[in-house]
Amino acid sequence: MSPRRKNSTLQDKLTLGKYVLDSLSAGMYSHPLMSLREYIQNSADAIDCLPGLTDNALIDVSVDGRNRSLTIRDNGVGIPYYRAKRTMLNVGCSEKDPVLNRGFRGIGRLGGLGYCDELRFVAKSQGENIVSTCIWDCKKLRQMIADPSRSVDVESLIKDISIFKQEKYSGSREEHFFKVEMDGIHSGKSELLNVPAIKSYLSQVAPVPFHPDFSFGQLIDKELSTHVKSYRTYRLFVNGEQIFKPYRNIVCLSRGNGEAVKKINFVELQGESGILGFGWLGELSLQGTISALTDMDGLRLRYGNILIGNKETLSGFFREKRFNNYLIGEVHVCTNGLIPNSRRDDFEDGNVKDELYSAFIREIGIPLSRKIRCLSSERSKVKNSSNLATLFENANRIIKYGYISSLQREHMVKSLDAVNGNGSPEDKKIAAELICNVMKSQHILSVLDSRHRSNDDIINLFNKTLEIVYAETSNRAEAERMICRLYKMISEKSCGS
Amino acid sequence: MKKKILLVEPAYKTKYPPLGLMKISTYHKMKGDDVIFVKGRDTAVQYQYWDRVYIGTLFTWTWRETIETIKFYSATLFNYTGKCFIGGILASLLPDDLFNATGIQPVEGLLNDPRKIDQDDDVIIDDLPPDYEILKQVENANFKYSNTDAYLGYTTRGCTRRCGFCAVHTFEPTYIPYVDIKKTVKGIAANSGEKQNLILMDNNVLASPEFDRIIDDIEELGFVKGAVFGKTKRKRIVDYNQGLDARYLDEAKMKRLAEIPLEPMRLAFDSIKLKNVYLKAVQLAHKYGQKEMSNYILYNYDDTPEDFYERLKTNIDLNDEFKNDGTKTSIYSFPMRYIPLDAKDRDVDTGNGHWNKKYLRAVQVILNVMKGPVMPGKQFFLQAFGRDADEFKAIMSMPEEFIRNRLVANWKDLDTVEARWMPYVRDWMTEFARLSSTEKEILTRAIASTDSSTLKEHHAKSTGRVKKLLEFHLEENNIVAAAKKQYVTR
Repeated sequence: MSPRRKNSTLQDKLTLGKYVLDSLSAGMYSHPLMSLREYIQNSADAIDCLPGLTDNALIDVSVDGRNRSLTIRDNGVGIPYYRAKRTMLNVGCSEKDPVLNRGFRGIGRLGGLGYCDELRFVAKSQGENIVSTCIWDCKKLRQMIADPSRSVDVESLIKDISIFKQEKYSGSREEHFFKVEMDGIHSGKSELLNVPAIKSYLSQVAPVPFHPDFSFGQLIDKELSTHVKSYRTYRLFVNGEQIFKPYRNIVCLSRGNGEAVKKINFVELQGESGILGFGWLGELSLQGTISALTDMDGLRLRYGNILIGNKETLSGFFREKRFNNYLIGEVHVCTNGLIPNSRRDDFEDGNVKDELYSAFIREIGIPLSRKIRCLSSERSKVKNSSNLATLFENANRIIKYGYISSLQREHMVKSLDAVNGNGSPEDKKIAAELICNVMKSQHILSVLDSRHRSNDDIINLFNKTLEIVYAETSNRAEAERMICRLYKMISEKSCGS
Repeated sequence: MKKKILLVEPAYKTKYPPLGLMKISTYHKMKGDDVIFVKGRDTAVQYQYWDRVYIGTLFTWTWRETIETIKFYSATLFNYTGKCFIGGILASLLPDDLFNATGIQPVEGLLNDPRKIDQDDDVIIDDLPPDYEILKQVENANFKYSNTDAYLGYTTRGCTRRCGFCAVHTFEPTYIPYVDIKKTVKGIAANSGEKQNLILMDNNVLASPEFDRIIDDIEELGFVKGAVFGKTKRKRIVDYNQGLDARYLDEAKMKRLAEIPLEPMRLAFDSIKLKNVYLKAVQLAHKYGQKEMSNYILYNYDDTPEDFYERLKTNIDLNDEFKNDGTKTSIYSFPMRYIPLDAKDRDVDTGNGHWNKKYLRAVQVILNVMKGPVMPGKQFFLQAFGRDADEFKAIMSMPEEFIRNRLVANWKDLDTVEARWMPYVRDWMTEFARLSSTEKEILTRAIASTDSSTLKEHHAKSTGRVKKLLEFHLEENNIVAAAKKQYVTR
């Protein structure tokens, strides 16, 4: 490369193209509900910034199926009018502090762009009479991105598709709020209109309180408040119904009945750089996996009381992933040394992250994997011994009443022989004796001593046999085939004699 | 915080204790950590937490088992590969292959630098005494390490030579002419108790200008001729088990070696070109009263079967010469098959045109009878390897079953070699002797690969004596079985 060429390259203006916006919005999340998480995270941060008591603070989600719209409204600090424009329009330059706030990248707000036709932010700060509104034309945005002939940079793209306006507020000066309004939500992404799905998702993800019915909620709240500096819960409503975490006193297992949580165990996750995490686990008998329908299954990882990733995020740190589904509980991060990645499905890489997960493996992943495996092998031992009891019972029946067919006897000897291969010494002894006696056993008909019966008796018996075969076999065609074979055998035999 | 340390030796066959892992054990125990040692892939340890896992490696031809073991423990660590440390010979010889296969960059060479395993101190692990205690954790009724009654150590490190068949210069590139064995021995004695013998794994001690000081050290530790150990007064021995370089042996050094209970003395006879040097060295050892010698005979490197035979025969002749004088020096030959330094299994063609798979297999069959070394007895040798190089080649060309069943049951009562042979061996020998050199070449090509379809192909297109000899190969099992039956009924 000549020096001249090099210079001209340096003078060229760098362009951030239109796809950047696409990548930061629709391209960012694997599920539309994740954009809700971003807005609720912003609301929680806004509530945290309120001065004084915040008992009346709330986050209100309303979903309107008829109008295909969704609104998230909080009464947090809002945005002062002089900062509103840059806060609502700038990309990737939030003024928030990554340590004090959950969001700080300045991109979460774009999450809704991909899922509706119009996205509106409306904000008002206390003591002002100005309300600021920013409208994003998402439909136009998508058209411009899809059109290969339009090559625009992010800045002009945003100017083109957004309108910012400030108006005199008709309500009280004292009001303060931030609103996200999504209009024209696509039918294809109807998850954003699916109220039960939204409730279930937010109950697992959002920083909401434990349900009043969960009797351990207060205890856990107390412990978490002591150990996790940033632990807070927020009142969140979806179409008027308050959302709580899914935990309840009774846990429903995938197979079988419910089981009561006996008590709560608390775990401290310590690394070289101090305490990194604090968790609670509901004590269960670890008989099986918890039904996924309960939304309670699996230890969940939370940062700022918001879920990181999903319920599988910690599963990889058990010896077998499914072991996590035997457990209920949460691990809250309590160090400033970790930063969630922009997708919020894990933390940014670094030593502290490795330390946190190592501590998790050491304190929870390995010990509980071991416990679950031990319990499971004990259960299968019990199951084997009950199988063995049935086997011995059947063998004794053959010895007492005779065998039905020589094949049955052969199978029985084989099964008993298998016990000899890997049973306990006592079982082996019993099996060996039974093999001896089964070998000596007679056919069921000889035991009944049918030789002294008359021909009529035998024909009678044969008729009854055929009847039973036909009546008791569930597959009729199979029954007829069997009867034909039996009949053929008998008649050929009588022809021969 | 007290750490949980797992040491792993892959489940290949070994005899010598894993010295590197034993030193790492000493290091971690010094720091107060818990150390567990396992052999192979142990599912039970997957249910325990480990701060670090160290995996030792050995010969490159254990590649497959080694890689499977590393993958297993990588999964045990939830793929936190930064907690998994792999070292040893394979890791030092094939670091890039190992990295590509496992994603773990191995530790190459000796543990002579604290940075190699991210130590938080400046302890040189290679200088620590090995921890013998951990061996008990893997020993059981079916498996015991050998030489655990010996101090294992070094008086020098590395080698001054750069022989193509040897890997030492790759992983120990710098020759260190003096290592204080007194320190090692005292360390072992303090941690694991006193040991009867002294096994020194030096690669070339005779090259050391500090040789006299080294012998002084050994003597100071009590290893002098006639020394005994313990209440039962067992004889103490010293073994430089990697062999001594005949080219460096002179009268002064031999004189010093004769002061210690070297049993056996091991010289290397790697090439026929070194015959004179080798003969001189053996004569020196004999002069200074060395009784037992066990000398390494490298083959399949750049030698021919003929010169391999000659080197074995040289030792037999020397034994014959020494048999009747007072010293009774007896020399065992220890044939060592060359395997390329990067071979990932044992079954490799080295590209040495003089040897082939069939010959190598044949040598193995002959050696199996003797369980390794070639014993000093002349008659036995001539019978096993042939009376000259040609007969040796005729034996190696035989079907494997013939080699294994060469002799009649009552061979000890019979005088001549021919009379001791089974009839089919006699037939083979007679036919083989008649082959022209071209025919011999054709036969060798047909049997070289030990592959039965190649053999059949050659058999189909061959004629005359070659065809007949190839028939022996195709029918070896039947011929041997029939002859044995006949022999019994008679």
